[in-house]
Amino acid sequence: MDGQYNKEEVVKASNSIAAIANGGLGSLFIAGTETGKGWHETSVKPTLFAADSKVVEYAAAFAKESTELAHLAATSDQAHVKEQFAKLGRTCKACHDDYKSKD
Amino acid sequence: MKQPVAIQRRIRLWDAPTRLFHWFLVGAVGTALVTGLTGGSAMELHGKAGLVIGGLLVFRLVWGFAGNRHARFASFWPTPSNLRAYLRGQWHGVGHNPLGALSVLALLSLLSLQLGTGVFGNDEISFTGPLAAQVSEELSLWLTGWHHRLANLLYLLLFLHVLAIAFYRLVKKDDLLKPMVTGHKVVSNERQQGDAPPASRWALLLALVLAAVAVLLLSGVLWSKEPPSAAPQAPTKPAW
Repeated sequence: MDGQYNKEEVVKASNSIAAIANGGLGSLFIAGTETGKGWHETSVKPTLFAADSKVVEYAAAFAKESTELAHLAATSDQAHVKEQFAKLGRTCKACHDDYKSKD
Repeated sequence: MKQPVAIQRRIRLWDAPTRLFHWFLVGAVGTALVTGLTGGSAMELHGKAGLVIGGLLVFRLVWGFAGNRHARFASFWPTPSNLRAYLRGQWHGVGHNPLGALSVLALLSLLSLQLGTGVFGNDEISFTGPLAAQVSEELSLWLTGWHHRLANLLYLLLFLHVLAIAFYRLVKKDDLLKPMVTGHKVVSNERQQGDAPPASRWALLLALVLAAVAVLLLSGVLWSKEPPSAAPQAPTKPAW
């Protein structure tokens, strides 16, 4: 959606993302939960829990880029934030591509 | 079978609107493929390419009824009998042959499905289709799932499309590409039908107006439920 760049909202939102990324995301992916049926069937692929899983690396990249986004949101301009947001999006996508079921 | 008659003539086959439609579609679908596969911030452009495709599809739909003879669906609608005739080598029309017509209709239908699923879809990161807000998240994700599955079918059809053009060119010595560029085709006199008179300007205007209306409707600007800039409302918290 196109809209006005609202720095205050962007700061709030990127702080939230950074907080989630740095708040022990791994605790949401306890081994065994790949069979979860909870409020809907889990869309995590079992390979996320495998020994050769890259999830640790992906989570670290997510944490790093979201921290950087929060930093830039508070200190920099729209162009830099946009660029960093694209970078952050790629870390989301990397993990979704590998470990999120698309069905 | 008798020998092909040597006398040939040059006919006007594809009118300019049909050709422009085709090449704009090539550009828009190409853009949508690349941006869709790239994902991330390229999704912005993916959405725009989708809207262009929407406008083009509606244009072609109208042109299929109001365009010139060779552009009309009725003139090339494939039926079991003309498909059989074509496969036996007994079809002597010009324009889309019955097998090609199947391909045209399959591509147009599939692109319509991609459009219909895509406008309601989302990439589960930061991109949402222009009408995604109009449906539940569950439905949006379900449609996105189909958008991804159908994309594979689209790759296949596009591959077949190009392969068929190469086959006609190399094996059947029939150049399909040039008429789609110049609009003219040299055909033997044995072929029935000939020049297609241009469609009326009113038909063109109608097709353009309806295409523009379609883009406007698909873009979602007319029915955004909430102002796009509105921040998510925090639930009112008790004072303690």
